[in-house]
Amino acid sequence: MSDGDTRICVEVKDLTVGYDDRIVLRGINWTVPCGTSAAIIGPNGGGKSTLLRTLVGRLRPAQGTVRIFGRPPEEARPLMAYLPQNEEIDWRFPIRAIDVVMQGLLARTPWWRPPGKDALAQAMAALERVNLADEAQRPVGALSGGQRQRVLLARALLQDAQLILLDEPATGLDAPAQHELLDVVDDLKRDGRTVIATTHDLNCLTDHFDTVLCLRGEVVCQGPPEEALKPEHLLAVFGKHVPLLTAEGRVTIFEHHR
Amino acid sequence: MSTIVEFLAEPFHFSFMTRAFVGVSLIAVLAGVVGAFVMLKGLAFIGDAIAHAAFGGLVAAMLLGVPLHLGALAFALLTAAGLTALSRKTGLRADTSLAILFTGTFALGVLGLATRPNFAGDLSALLVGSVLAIRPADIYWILAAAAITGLVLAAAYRHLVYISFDPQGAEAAGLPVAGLQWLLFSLVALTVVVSLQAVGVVLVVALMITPAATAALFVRRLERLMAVAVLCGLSATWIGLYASYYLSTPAGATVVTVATAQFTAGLALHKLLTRRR
Repeated sequence: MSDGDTRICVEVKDLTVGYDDRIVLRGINWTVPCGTSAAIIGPNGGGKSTLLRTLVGRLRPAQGTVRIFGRPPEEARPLMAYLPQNEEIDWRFPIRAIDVVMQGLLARTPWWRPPGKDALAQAMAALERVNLADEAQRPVGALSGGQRQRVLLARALLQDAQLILLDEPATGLDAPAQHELLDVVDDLKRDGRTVIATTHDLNCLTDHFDTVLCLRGEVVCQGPPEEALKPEHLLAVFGKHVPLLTAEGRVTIFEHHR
Repeated sequence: MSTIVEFLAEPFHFSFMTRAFVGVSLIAVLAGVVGAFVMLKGLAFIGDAIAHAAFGGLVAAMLLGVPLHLGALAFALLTAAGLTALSRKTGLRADTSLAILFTGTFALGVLGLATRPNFAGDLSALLVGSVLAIRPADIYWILAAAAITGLVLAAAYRHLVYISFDPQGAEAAGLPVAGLQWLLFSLVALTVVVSLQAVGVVLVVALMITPAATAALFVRRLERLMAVAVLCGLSATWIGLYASYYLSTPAGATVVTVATAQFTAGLALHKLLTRRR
């Protein structure tokens, strides 16, 4: 359980990072305790994906430090699972859902060792946990967006990743699919795993997470959702176009007039 | 009945035809397996680039008097390493500079070849291959390439699938993505080099891409796709070589034409099947 667990899973200190020609994030200070969930929100181009890429060690800080379980990202790698944005994955690749889940073993077993006898059973159990046991034999490309995300989470389970990073998992999902995803996230947290997800609009995910980090090139606000998601903060993050979730589960753009 | 047997057996009275059947069949197996990755990952351009660079290496080896395969292999593997570095940096958006580099290497190869007495004959042999001139040594090279490819896939097949499907996820989980990418490109390079003698620079990519593309129309699992691609490649090889023998057509081009016809027929069949559903 997360209660009483005071270890720090992600620690970002004075981070400045960007690409060859431009700085995207400046002066980021952020910590995520182990066993909690954190949402990173902000407009497109606000630096959410850049922060995730820095956490997985794909981008190196220009300044400052990133520590995952007290180690540099590259050294924490077998403990991390990263679900990139949907279009970064080749969904036409001809493999079954169960094959994708089995990939989780590759991170934690040496390359010369074939999957053990119980590997298949473990993979099925992982699919079971994300409610996709019936889809095991289907081509992963034939699954819905929400199901694909959950297959990747089952892979993270088989990898036994302790930190799971999701880049824009809600994009393209309707409200029921978002809730199915949240159920899995809650389940992962129950094991003491840490979950971090980005989102560019406010949706079911946002206020369901333990903490929120609002990014717009720098930290605009952070804290529990009820504190961080105040209208004045949202205005500062998104400008005057504040996306809000209506009671029907649809996202609308709320235009703020002063 | 006996006429059919005679018809099928006649080419094998010639040892060069026997070597052609054996050599190209082995290439079809190798190219079918490696080609599945090439086709799925859109690496046709990579294969083409490697083939052109290998041509430069082949001519260099010819002029220096070292074994041709070694020269071609050196250039091809060097190219594979360079492409790995480039694809990590730019995500392969640099096709302009690539095209300049490889057509340049190719042009240098042509210039080098032009210093030799039998320029036209050598050039056409390297461009479209000479199936009927396959020597036992060529077959050993193909066998060696197939053995290496088999070993690599036995060890790293699942890893190569992982990085092909989800490179970013694989990297975050700690897989050596750059090394695996290089391994995959090197398998392509190896396949290209040992196939050059038989089918030449221009047609070698077709042997990797076309059977795999035909297979992809009908199967949704990589292992089956490879198996069907190998079967398509083998049947195209045999039909093509018989046709070439009896019609006196260039062997490599005939095989590729049959493979292309297979794909066209497959596409029509696929359209028909999906419409009915």
